[in-house]
Amino acid sequence: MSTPGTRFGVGFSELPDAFAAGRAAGMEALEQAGLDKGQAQLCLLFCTSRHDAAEFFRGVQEAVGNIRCFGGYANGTGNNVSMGYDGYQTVVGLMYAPDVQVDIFLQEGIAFNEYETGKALAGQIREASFQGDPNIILLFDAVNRLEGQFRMNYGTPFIRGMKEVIGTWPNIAGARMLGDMKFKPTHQWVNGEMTQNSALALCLSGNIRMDYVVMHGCKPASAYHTVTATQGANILEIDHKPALSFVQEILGPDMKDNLKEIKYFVTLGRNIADPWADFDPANYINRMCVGVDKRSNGLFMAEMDFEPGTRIQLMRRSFQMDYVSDQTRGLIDQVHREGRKPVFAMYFNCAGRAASYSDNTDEDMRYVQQAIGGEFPMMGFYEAGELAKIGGELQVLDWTGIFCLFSQ
Amino acid sequence: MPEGTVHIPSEHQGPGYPDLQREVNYYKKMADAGAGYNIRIDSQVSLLKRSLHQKENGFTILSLLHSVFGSHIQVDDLLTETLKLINTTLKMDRSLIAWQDPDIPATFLPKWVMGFETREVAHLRKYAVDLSSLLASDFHYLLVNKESTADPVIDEIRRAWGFQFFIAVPIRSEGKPVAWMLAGREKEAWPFYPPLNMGDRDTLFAIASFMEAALANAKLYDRLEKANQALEAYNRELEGRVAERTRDLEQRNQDLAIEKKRSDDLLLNILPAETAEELKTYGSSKARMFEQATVMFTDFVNFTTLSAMIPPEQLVAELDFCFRHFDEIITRWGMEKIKTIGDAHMSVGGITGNTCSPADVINAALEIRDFVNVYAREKPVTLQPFFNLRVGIHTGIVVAGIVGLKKFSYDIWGDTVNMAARMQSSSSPGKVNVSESTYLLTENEFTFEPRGKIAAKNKGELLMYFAEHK
Repeated sequence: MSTPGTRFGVGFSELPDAFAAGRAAGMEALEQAGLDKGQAQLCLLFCTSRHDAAEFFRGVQEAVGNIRCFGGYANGTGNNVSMGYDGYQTVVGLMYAPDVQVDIFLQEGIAFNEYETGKALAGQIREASFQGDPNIILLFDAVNRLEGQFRMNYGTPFIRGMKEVIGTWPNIAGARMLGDMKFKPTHQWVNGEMTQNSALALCLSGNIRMDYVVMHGCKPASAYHTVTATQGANILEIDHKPALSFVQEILGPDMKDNLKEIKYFVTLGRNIADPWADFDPANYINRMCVGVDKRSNGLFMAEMDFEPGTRIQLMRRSFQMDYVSDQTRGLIDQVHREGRKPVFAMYFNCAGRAASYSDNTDEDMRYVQQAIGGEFPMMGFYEAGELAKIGGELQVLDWTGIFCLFSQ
Repeated sequence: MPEGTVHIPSEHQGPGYPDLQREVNYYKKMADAGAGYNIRIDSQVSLLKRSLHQKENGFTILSLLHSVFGSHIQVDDLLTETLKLINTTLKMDRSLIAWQDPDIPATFLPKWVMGFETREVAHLRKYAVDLSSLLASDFHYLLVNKESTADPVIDEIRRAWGFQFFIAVPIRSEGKPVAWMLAGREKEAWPFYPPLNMGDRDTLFAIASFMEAALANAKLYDRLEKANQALEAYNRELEGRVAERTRDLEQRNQDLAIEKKRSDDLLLNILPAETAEELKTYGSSKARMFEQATVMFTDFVNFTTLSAMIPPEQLVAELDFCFRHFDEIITRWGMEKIKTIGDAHMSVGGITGNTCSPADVINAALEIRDFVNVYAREKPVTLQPFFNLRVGIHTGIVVAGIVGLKKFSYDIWGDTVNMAARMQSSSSPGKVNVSESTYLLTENEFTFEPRGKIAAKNKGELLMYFAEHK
């Protein structure tokens, strides 16, 4: 049973003025939660890069007071009824739960060294004491502009660094933060401060539990093949053939010379379970191609975790909306069956598969909203890579949505 | 063995191995071919959808703009909202509307902007760009993407207004460009932000057409609004005049009311209320008979001698002072003043609506007498003897009313009046002399000193009494 007094409210705004948007979303969240200014324990806040980060933060604080904050840029946001991306979307969530312990950890400098940042962040978490096992929301800046041009901050070394310190993964999910598809620098808010280039962890312990379900958007399309040579995130060879030539051969002459389309449509999947068993999306790690390297004839992937020896398949983006709705409702029903009461939900969604970017006709977030109805407040975000445990290990996932349900 | 084929270790290879090997490779190739086919189809569908999506966005924004135009009459709001929709719906980073410089018509200065940082806006509004070359060319627009060739106007727009890849279209009023609308992206990032193309240009042209219509409407509305404002101002002026006139009339009414009250008061001062009302209503008043009127006369002793001793102004002032008090006293006792004759004061009780009994008249007489006695003590010794009253009272039938056309005077007639006058002339200084009829009506209320029968002019001998407080 939820403790009497637990409150959660979400506000959404698309006002173009950053301060006004922050204040409007904050006021709506306060009203929905039935809280007064300064009363909430935690403020979760997200907006797109079209907004001035400082002004938005100031607007939110004006509404909700100087309380602990956690959030940053997202390419889009949503709540139970509204959603959007690439515009002026903002979302603010406010929590008041007297029997929930809130801990926020910040580790700056992910662009300099993902691995060390992961280790240092995990070190902070390890040193802290929680009321039981913490439920962790992990966010880190996706945009790395240290070399003058954009590259992703990689999750693979970051996670490896964390793993070395933390040992066994606790209950953890999250996303790689991105404010737009043009890869402007990402702003983040932690407690009362603004930061960039950081990894953040929100740990909720005590009377709260996070359950989540991963909404894969890809299905295997080809036979298994093997990565035979890599250089960082660049897959140089598959089955001992230049990786680009390999996929060009499979895709045929119509697409062979259209490198833009190849880059956009190639997604590789790694099955971590029995390769000959029936398809189970929960066993797949999908990796998007983010560029082609004509010089090496290789494929730049969004992560560097497909090492030589990895068996992969070409995946097809057959995004199924009913699947999203069913999975969401299934998790909610399961939580109810356990006698727990949902308090709020977060939906981390891959920005790339938003309808107007992926040329889909439907938005998966709409199906999540539909499954929840008005049962409990929901915050949705469009980000660049999702974090969830697959086979017991934290993984960066592409082309996915992660529905996280917090209950008491 | 070709790369990618399945290798089965020799220890597992049986007699059917070659066929099995071929079969596996067959299906594997088939799977890969299927994958390639499906992804190619996805790609082609995607291209079609992208094109449709662009059109859909165009229709979406036109539909949204239709709503905006319906709800925003103010040009500022309209253009700001339009730019916001352009940025969010067409995935533009920034947009602006540059208005024609009235002094240099070929140059345009940003007036409405969206998507710029605050620090950029102030800078932006200072820089006008000469767009005359666009108007002179065959193509009255600019479409700038990575493929565009260098051009001085493009460079100038990039430098002054901070656009990288953009489309510029004119907004016309009465056929002439009065403004330019620009919308653009900072970068091209396939597939999320593909290069701007003719489809985007068509959408912006459609938006510009909408805005031209909206601006024309706004201009019309502005004229109507001005006409309306003029009408409202005229109405306000008229209302002001009416209000002023009303205030004048109200003031006049108030003045008239005051005057009327003053007139009524004066009338009431002269006439009893019933008679005054009758006179106001009918223009005349009938004389009425009263069965039991008590008439009182007062007279200062040796007044003629006093008039020779003091100046006439002082004499009149003294009379005025005393008669004011007499009037106040008799009014309080419910009597009506009839008139003064020289130093004599004549009044009557029992003829008006007020219930005034003969006893009330005696009480008034005693109070007047006492007042004069007190007042006399304030006077120099030489004058004191002259402030002494003789009072006479008689009760009987009188006829009361007004006669004549001018200088209305309420008066009473009858023998009762003569009798009262005789009572006064037969009284003594400082005494209230009453007739028998009055005595009989009040004998239990005062102390009476019977005087016996006293001769009165033309009346023979009459019983008289001095009245005093009990």
